[in-house]
This record gives sequence, structure tokens and C-alpha cells, in this order.
Amino acid sequence: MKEFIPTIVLDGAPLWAFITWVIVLSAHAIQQPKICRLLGYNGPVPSGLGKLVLLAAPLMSLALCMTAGPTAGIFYWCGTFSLAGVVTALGLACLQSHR
Amino acid sequence: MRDTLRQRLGWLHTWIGFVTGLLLCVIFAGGTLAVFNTEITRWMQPENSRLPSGLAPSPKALEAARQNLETLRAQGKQPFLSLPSVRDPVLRVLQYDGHEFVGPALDPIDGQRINVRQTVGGQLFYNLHFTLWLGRDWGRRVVDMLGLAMLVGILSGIIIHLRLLLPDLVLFRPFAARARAWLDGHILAGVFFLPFIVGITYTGVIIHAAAVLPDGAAIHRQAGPMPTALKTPQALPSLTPMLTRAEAEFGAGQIGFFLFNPHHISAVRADGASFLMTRDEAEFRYEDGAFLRHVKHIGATTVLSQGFRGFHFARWTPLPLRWLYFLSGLGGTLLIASGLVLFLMRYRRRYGNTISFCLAESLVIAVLVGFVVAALGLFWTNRLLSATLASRVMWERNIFMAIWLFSLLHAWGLVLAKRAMSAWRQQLLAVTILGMGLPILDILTRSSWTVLLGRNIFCAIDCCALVVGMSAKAIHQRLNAPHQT
Amino acid sequence: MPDIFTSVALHYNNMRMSRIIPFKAWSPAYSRVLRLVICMSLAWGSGAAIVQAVALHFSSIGENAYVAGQIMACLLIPIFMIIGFGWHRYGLLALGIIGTLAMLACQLG
Repeated sequence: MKEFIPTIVLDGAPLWAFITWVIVLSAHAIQQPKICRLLGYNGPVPSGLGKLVLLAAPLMSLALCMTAGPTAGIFYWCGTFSLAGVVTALGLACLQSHR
Repeated sequence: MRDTLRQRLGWLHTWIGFVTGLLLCVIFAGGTLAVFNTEITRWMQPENSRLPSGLAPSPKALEAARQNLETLRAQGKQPFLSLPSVRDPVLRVLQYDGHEFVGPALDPIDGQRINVRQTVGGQLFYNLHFTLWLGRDWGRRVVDMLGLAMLVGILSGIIIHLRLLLPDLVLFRPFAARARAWLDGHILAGVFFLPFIVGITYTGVIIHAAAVLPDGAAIHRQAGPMPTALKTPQALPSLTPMLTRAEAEFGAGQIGFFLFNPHHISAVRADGASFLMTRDEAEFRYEDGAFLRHVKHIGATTVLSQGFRGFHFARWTPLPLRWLYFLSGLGGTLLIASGLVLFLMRYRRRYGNTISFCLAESLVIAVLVGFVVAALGLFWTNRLLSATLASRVMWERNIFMAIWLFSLLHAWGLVLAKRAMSAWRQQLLAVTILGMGLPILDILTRSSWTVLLGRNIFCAIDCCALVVGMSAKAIHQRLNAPHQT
Repeated sequence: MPDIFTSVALHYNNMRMSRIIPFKAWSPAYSRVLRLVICMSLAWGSGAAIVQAVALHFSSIGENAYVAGQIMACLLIPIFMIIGFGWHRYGLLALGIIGTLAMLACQLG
């Protein structure tokens, strides 16, 4: 399967997994009324197909991480989730302060 | 008022969290630094900075190591030989001095002694992490009990926060009221680093579970008669053929160290060879170095146990994953630290003038800031003490302890004088100076430092110290703001 | 209905026992600390009994049976603590029953 994945994705798999997690968690955040209120966000929120994609995205990041091997992959997946969560929360906090 | 499950568990979380959190914070911080224990040791021995990583030991170097080992064995010591690896490129003839593993480092090419300074290195944090320096038996017992308490704290925390777990997943309000901001930070660290914190705590407790739960070793392991090799150390056979034979069993570069057991010599599989920390061995005879057998540790429980060790010790991890371990450990430390600060905030108004609160606050200052001052102080001590000083290891250890103790006394004195904020500020200032000054010290005390600019352990540790210093400065400034005092 | 410790606390205060024992009053905090200590003892005792029971029933695998028991016990002890402390009315009873069963499993090998 690795032959079909571009080298840039394969080499930076944990980084891509991290980015995927940031997108998923940001999308989750804008679905929460409390966070929307804090941010003053009134834009569109994912619904229907968008939610399905958001559910599938963590699996995609898991698949990406697995290219580093099954054991390391699980660790990368969990580790990038933790880091992405903190980065997303800090990013949203910065947006709050700007507002 | 109704006595609900959340209230009960809230009380349990608060008190178990505070009482054990003081020591757990030290354990977590020590463990976080111990992720890079080898790298810290290398930073503290700048003399071997020119050696490239991943060199296989030459026969000449192994012969020199053998002679070193024989000399030590003749003195009645029990040394072992650590082989070079990607993380640590030298041969080390090590022995346990009751506190740390110490001994000479040899060049893997020609076997010449590298004139490195003796240092406690990263081993200090490693030992602190799993024994709190209370001795091997009591230390493991105490740390294990604390680990169980941590699991209780985590479980109660999850139950308390369960209702808001998903809606408030990424909620962080650093600009809200201070207590709210700290609580958000506490929850944020707790939720996102939960997989790591639960995993690392549980595996840590399991590894030394025998210290607090019934153990089968006494029944199932019986000591044999004292062999001749232990009474009168024999001449060691050549190590090169043994290493070649062991590599044929485990693969090239997969041998971690040679142990000199009473009955035989063991070439032990490197801990970094795979996720499972198997410690499989190739055994050799003392007389002629002949291969005896390949000892494989198998069985479902054994493999499970090896997996727990692999998870906890993380010696198999590639560099990016090691950094993730480090950052996750930092997350765990911040979780406990924010919990301690929240405890003080909660009880300051009602009990702020009592002696017990003063004691609690000074302990928190000593743990949260004093430990960082002492750790940075150790790095400074390492470079400022003469490289040839006798009992250097003891000096470094004692100075680390002295700085930490001084931090506690300083905090205690100022808190009693109703100047708790000054205690926080002054110690944070010390962290700022020591942290931001460490890169400069490194440049001044390391020869040919320009050659080693770039991606290496020296730059990484200097950058980390700089970040710690800058963070301390930011907190210091926030504490200085008029509305915060 | 207050649990056993709060009842004792109320009784203590009503009886003016504080004249004899030098506590100002038996607050709920004291009862909670007492309950916590009992929970810890019972949870650890149950865990230790589980290890012994597993070691006894799977003695064929030798020392590994102890390791398996320890792996189970380290998972269960915190859960026992939460049950004992968090379950308002029957938590300690449940913990007592668990401990007794584990002890029986030890003895009936």
C-alpha cells in the first residue's frame, strides 16, 4: 500500500496526522454553542456529509500514522491528538482575545 | 446540601490530588526529563561531543573494555559493559555506586579512554523518577502507592468532568478570571493527555507492582550455590567473538550490554531493539567464551509485561516519538501543577493565614518552581565545577539537593512573612536567569561549539532551557501586573 | 439518609463527646477522611487477595501468575476505591463483599 502514497505524505505522516486532528477538533469546536458564543462565530457549521467526513478524518489520520509501523503508529496517533488538542485550544483562545 | 457523587468525588479528587500531587509532580517532571536521560548525560559530558552516532565497537575497543572490566573485577566490583548506540556513541564500563551508574567511557574506534568528566547526568532524574531517592525498596513502594493514588485521581476527575467532556473539549479561557483560567488549563491538559497519562501511570505502577503487592519471586526464584566466578573473578574471554555470535542470534547492532553473571556471561538484547523490552540473552561460558544458549523470555504474561515496559521506558522510540513522549510528560506535569495551584486558590481566602496553608504553599512553590531552579542549577553546576574535581558526582548531587532545599526554605520564610507572591516572583526570576543564561554558558564552556551548531543535543537542550526561561519570565510579568497581586 | 460515618459524627456531636475527646466537632471532613482510610485499606487488601488467588489458581505458570494477578489488581484497586468512596450508601459494603470473596478465593485453592 505504501507504494501508492506520495513520499511527502509518507515522510511527514505524523505532521499530516497532526494537521488532520487540528481540523477535526476545530470543526468540533465550532459546533459547540458555548465556544461559538465566546468566539462570536455565526458562520456555517458542519452538518450531514460534513459530520461524516469529520468522523472519518481521525481514521484517516490513523491510517497515515500506521505507515510508521503498527506500534509506533498508535503512539503517533494518540500523541498528535494530544498536541493538536492543545494547539487548537490555544488558537481558539487567541481568537477570543482578539475579539 | 445534598451529598452527590460529584461532590464526594470532588472532595476525593481535591485532597488525594493535593497530598499526593506534590510528590507526583516531581515524579512526572523527573520522568519527563528522563525521556532524554542519555542526551542529558551527553550534554553534561561535552568532551565526547565530536563522536559520530551509531558506530559499532571495534575489536581493539572491545579488548580495551575487557581490560578495564578485569581491573574493576579484580578490585571486587561488579561492572558491566554498555555498548554504543545511536543515542550514546561510546562504550561505557559501568558499576553501581549505590546511587548512580558510574564508570569510564571508551572510544568505540580505538578504545582510548575519553577524558569525560564524571557526572550524575540524566541518571539523576531517572532515579528521582522511580525512587524519589528513598532507596530502592522504599522508594519503589512509595512511588507505586503514589501511582495508584494518581489512578484514583484520574478516575475521579473523569467522572467529575464526564458531563462536559465533549462540549468543552477545546475550551480554554486564559483571559477569564484566574481560577477559571487555571481550571480550564487543568482540564485541557487532563483531557488531551489522558491516553498518555493513564497509560504511563498504569504501566509505571505495574512495573514495580511487586513492591506493594504479593510477589512470587521469593517462592519461585531460589539462589544456587555461590559459583567460583563470583568468589574469585576469572580472566574474561575476548568479547569480540562473543559479540559476533550474539549478533548472529539477535541481528547486527541489536546488543545492548554485556553482563557478567555469577554463572555465565550474558550478551543482552538492546532495549531499543523493539517495542517489547524482552531482555533476551545469549549466554557464554567464562572459561573460553563458548556460546551456551539463547535465552528467550516467552509466554503471554511475559510478553504483556515486556509490552508494559516497552510502553513506559520508551527506549524503542524514534526521535519524533520521543519528543511526543517528552511533550506528553510535560502535559502530565502541567496537569498536576495546575491542580496544585487550584488547590491553593480554593483555600487561600478561608485558610490563607493558617500555618498549614503556609506550609502547603511553600511546598507547592518548592515543587513547581524550586525543582526547575534546582534542575537548571544542576546544568550550571555541571559546567562550572572543575572537570577533574574528585567526587564530582557527589558534588553535583549535593548541590542539586542544596538548591532545592534552599528554595523550600526561601519559600517557607517568605510565605510565613505574608509575602507569598514575592516567593513566587523571586524564584521565577531565578528560573528566568538560569534558563535564559544556559545557552550562553554552554557556548562559553564548550570547546569548538560553532562546529556543533545545528540539529544536535546541545542546541536542543539549550533551546529547551531558553523556552523554560522565557515562560518563567512571562509568568513573572503576569504576577507583577497590579491586578494580579 | 446520612451514611454510617455522618451518623456517627452527628451522634458524637449530640453526645458532647468533644468534652472527652479533644475535637471541637466531628465535621463531615473527619468522616470522609475515615471513610477514605477504610476504602484504601479494603481496596488494597482486596487487590492483594486477588493476586494471591490468581497465583494459587494458576500456579502452573509459576511466577507469571503473580504478574498476571498484579496487572489485574493494579487496574481494580483504583476502581474499588471509587466504588467504596463514591457509592454513598452501599460502597463500603460492596467493597467488603469483594474483599471477602477475594479472601475466600485465596483460601479455597
